[in-house]
Amino acid sequence: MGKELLRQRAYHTGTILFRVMMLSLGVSILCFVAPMIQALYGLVVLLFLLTVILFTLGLILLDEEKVAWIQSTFDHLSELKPNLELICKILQVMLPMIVALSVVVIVCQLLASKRSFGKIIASAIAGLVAVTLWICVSKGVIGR
Amino acid sequence: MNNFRLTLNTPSKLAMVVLIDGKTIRGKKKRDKTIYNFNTTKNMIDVNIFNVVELDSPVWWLWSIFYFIIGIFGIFDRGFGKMTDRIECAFRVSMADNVNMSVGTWYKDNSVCTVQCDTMYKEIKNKVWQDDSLKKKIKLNKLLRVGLWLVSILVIVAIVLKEVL
Repeated sequence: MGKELLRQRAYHTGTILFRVMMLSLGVSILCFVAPMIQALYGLVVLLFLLTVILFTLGLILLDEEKVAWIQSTFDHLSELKPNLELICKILQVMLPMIVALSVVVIVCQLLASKRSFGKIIASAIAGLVAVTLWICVSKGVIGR
Repeated sequence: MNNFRLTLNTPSKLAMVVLIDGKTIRGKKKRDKTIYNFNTTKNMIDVNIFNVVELDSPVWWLWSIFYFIIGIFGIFDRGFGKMTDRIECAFRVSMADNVNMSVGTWYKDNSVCTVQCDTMYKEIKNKVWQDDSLKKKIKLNKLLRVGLWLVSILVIVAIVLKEVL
């Protein structure tokens, strides 16, 4: 009975940590991608302006005021810069935590009464992704 | 060597434990059934079947607090579940070359497991019931969670006030 209780606790703990790990990985990937979004802004603005030009060329009503407002909004957006220092700090804490969590989740799942191979594989992949991002962050991919 | 094959047909949410001659046997799941195989040279074997719930532990409340903490205010917690069913069966089975036994539950009204066996068996215990103590513990757990939430909010408010003032 004691063993079965332990197995159930391992399953319970593993399930909770798996969810926490997945959320942390999502946040980390977002943080990692955030500085790159800055570069994407340019493309978005370009595409939008192209559309506006096409519309104005097509003599569809878009008065000057509206165009100016849209342009100022995009100018404001492109001025936004992610705080790279803060992102690096967050990632340096989150990524090792995810790696540790993935190991704990795999151990818990192996001990559990209801083994979920999906979760084991997902944790292993999450761990590998976290290690890769960690290497990238430590080599200064983001900070540059 | 005689082979004993037990087919257990119980709700998947229940964590069943099967003891044969005092040894825990691990089964293989096949859809809604779990199959246990056991080899023995004995003429008689004792089969015990029961279910275990996390709330059985005397320190379940400590584990609840632990799950609350690691589950970030219990948001990611899966909970203890709402199953309050209990199954307790014990049989003494006469062995032959290959013995097949199937134990299953249940229609909601049944208070016993249905048993089918190739050989003679003696039913020592066969009981299925709703455990009121589990219901009570589930309610207590809910209260505990509310208390933990209140404590967490108080702690957060205290920290914020300390930072601000």
